[in-house]
Amino acid sequence: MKFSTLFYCIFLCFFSVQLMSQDILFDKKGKLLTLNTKDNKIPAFTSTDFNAMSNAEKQKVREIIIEKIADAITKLSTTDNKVNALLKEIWTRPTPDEIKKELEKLKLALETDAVPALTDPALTPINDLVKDHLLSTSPNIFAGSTGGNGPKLSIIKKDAFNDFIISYYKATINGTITQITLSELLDYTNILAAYYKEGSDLSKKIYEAKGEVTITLYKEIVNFTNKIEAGNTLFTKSKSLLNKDWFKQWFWIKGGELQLNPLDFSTDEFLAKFPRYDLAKGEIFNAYIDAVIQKYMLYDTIGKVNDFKKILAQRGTGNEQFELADRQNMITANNAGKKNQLTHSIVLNDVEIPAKGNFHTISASDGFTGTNNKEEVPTDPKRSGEIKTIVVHNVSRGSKASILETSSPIKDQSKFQADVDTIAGLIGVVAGYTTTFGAISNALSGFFSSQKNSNGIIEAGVPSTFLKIIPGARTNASIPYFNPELYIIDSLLKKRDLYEPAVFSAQIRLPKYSSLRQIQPLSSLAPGSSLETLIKEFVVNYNIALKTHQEPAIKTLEKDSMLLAGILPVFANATLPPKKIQSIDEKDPVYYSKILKSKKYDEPSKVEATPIIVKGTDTTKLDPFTFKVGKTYRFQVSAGLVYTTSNFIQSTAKEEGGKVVIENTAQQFRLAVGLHIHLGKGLFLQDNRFAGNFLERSSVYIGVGIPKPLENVYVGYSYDFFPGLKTIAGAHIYRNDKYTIQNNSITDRRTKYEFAGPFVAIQIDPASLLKALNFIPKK
Amino acid sequence: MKKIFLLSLITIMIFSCKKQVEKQEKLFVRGRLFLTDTLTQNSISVPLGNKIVQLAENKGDSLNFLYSNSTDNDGYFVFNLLNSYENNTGFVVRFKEKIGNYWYNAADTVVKGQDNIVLQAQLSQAKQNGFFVYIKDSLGGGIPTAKIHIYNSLVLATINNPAGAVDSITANATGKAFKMNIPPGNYYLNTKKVVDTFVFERRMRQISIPAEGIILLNPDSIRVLRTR
Repeated sequence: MKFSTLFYCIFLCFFSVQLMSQDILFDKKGKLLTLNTKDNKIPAFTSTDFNAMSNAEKQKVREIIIEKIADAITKLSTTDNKVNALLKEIWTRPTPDEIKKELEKLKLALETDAVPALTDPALTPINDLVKDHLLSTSPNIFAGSTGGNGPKLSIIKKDAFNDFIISYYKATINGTITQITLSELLDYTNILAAYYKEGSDLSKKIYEAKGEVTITLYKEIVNFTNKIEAGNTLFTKSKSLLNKDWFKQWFWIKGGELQLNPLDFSTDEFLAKFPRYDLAKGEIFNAYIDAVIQKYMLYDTIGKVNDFKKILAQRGTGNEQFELADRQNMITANNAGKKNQLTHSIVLNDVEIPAKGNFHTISASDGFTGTNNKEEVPTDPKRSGEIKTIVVHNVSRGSKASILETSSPIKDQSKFQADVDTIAGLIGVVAGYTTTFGAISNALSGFFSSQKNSNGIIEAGVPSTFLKIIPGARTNASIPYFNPELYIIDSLLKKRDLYEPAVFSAQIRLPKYSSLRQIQPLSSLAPGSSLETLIKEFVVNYNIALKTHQEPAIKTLEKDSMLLAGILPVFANATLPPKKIQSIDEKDPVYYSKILKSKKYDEPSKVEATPIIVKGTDTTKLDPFTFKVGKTYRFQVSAGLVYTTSNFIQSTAKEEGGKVVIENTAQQFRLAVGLHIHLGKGLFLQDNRFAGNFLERSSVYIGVGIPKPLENVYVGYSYDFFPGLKTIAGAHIYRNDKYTIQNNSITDRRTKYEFAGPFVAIQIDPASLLKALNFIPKK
Repeated sequence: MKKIFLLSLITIMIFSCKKQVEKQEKLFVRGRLFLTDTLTQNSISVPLGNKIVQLAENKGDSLNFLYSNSTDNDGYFVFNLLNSYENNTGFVVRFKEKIGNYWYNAADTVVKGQDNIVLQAQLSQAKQNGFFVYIKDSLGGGIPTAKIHIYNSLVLATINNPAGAVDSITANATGKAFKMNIPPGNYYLNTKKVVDTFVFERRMRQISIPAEGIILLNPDSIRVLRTR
């Protein structure tokens, strides 16, 4: 064999041994997959056994964060993205592009399992935190409470993601942010909402104006934008607030969203936002109770003192009677969020086995293999007073494991004895059997309904209509001349509220419109005339100039509206960030082991047991099993055939009819009945194993022959290869009297017992033998 | 250890069931009783049924016995022996009984397990007496129906008058005659046979009859001579 081949063989063997020697194995959720125990000890293991799982878990966390970073980068990349547009307005340093570059570096580092090298001061804390928590070189997140070798073991897992978040939060916490009160937050929300509404209304008016923004509307726009952009408005403050590092630091971890509180829980101050009680109802209730109390005090008798006490106990409890669900729900959700995010470590699995004794191992979930070198087979019988121990692993949090047992009394006999009874009592002929088969078919039908995706009719935007020249109204016919400038202002512009003096003045001053500044005969304004054409041209150019003039304000409005649209949700949907956070160690294990013990039964019984897992109102039944309980017997009686291996003759003499009759019996086979005294704990009939427990199956045998029990005595050793089937060997002692006979009379007789020789015997229960022998015809 | 023990037990049981050579001890003696009497009758080895046979230890004690048994209708008898008897213990089977008017007896020494005992009962010499005699001519031929007169007096025997005889017997066809159970003493026998004109006789043959015992005269002792 080549060396390389030999090497591979050795390597594979070693590897196989390594695999085969894995006596304890968990999955990444902490579920126990394999447990092979010996001598009531859980195999030892070290945290390095979890290196692969730890790295896999950290890899998963990195992937989650990478996904978030990718979303954030996307939002910072697309130019028509509202978020990007918002951030470009708000973030001055670092800019969104600078943040994006840093995020790309971070993403690459996480993808390559390397320490990132971010340089922006706002984001540099991430470098060490990633190194400490998220890389494969970071510490193992799994640990065991003990190294094993005992009956208990707990697997504790640190939450790498939570640890990272908690550390990052502590490193980035900003006093300005955490000092925001609820009232300030509500102010931000309400005022920004009002601004937003106002801006939206203005935008709607602009839209409805279809390109023709009136001066009034324009002024409203200018007033609005000036108002909100003043230095001390909440709009300005909110922009300044959102420019803080806090939002840049937490922007990426929320997938590209700005959030005041990046955590999933808030402060008690924030929760106070939700009223706890229905105060109105509470007050009414209190008033009613007070009135009832007054009535009792004035009119009631001593016979209703107890009722009065009950009424008195309810005084002042109005609020408690009408506790509002919203508050409760928020508190519940907040607590859940806090626990979910601050949990630093959880006990994945509390594994436990009995400290001594035999037990059987099962699991509340599939996919488990386990052995114990003192395996308690569930169907193995038990002695009266003994209990069966079952260990259920992987019982999930909130569930309880127990055993449902039903028992029924049984006749305490071994399988062999039962079979002998059956054969002995069996008569007749077994009839043939017929079977019928039936076919059952199930039809599965189903239908798949396809839901047609109806394309909604997308309303096309109504294109703006071009400003049409409205023919000017003719003035009074008695005035032969008119002022075109005034005509334009009054009839064309002011009526439509489009007259902006500055724009008009700038336009009308243009040389080409000089004629419009002069009084013109009214007749020159005939349809199709040059004056009319000039006026129309002026109006068109004026409108263009007006639009140009209005455009900055409108754009400012658009920008501000966009900002408000982006900023408002930040505050409207915000919760207050906690000033301090503290990690939580969750002690309640995700999975645990439960040692179940069956009941003690003193009488022979057949027990049907079903381990169950109860969670709330749901009950799951695990594999049921049946076992028998029986007693141990120190003494047993048996009957059967004995065979004396040596030839012997038993002589008896008697006087009969004046003669001496001598009878010589040479009977090697004989029926005998005997008593067994079992050793050890006594014979356990329910243990149907071949050979079984040596001491219990062994017994000292004392038997007598049938008939004439005093003439044949058997003493020996017996072994029950099956309980009730007694195999005996020993010494046969027979009675051999000595006679002195003379002249047809027995003159002397001496009782004497002698050793006949060794004997062997097969014996069973006397009742069963009797039943069997009843089938032999009696002479 | 346990398995070794169990295997040993099983082995013992298996070998115990092996057929062993039967070493039956023959705790019996068996045989058949016959009657042989050619003197008073012509019986040779006639089975004697329903007769008592005794079993005794061979110790020379003719008085006591162990136990007795009856022969069956064909004269067979069997004695069961106790297993306490040693193999070399000797026994005697014996028979003694009066059949008809005469005592017969038989005895034989046997050993344990002997099953071919032939016990021949013959006229007993004890408890009875008598004599047997053959009447023959000079050539030794039997004289049938010869008359024999028994005298206890020589004088009367000399006179040869049958009236003086104590008894008279007649020989049978072969010339045999006997007399049983007579008082002991000396007697004289006178024999006579008349055939036509021939007379054959013998006078005063003396015999001495004991108290017990049967005398069997020499067959040639009474030869009659022709006297006329």
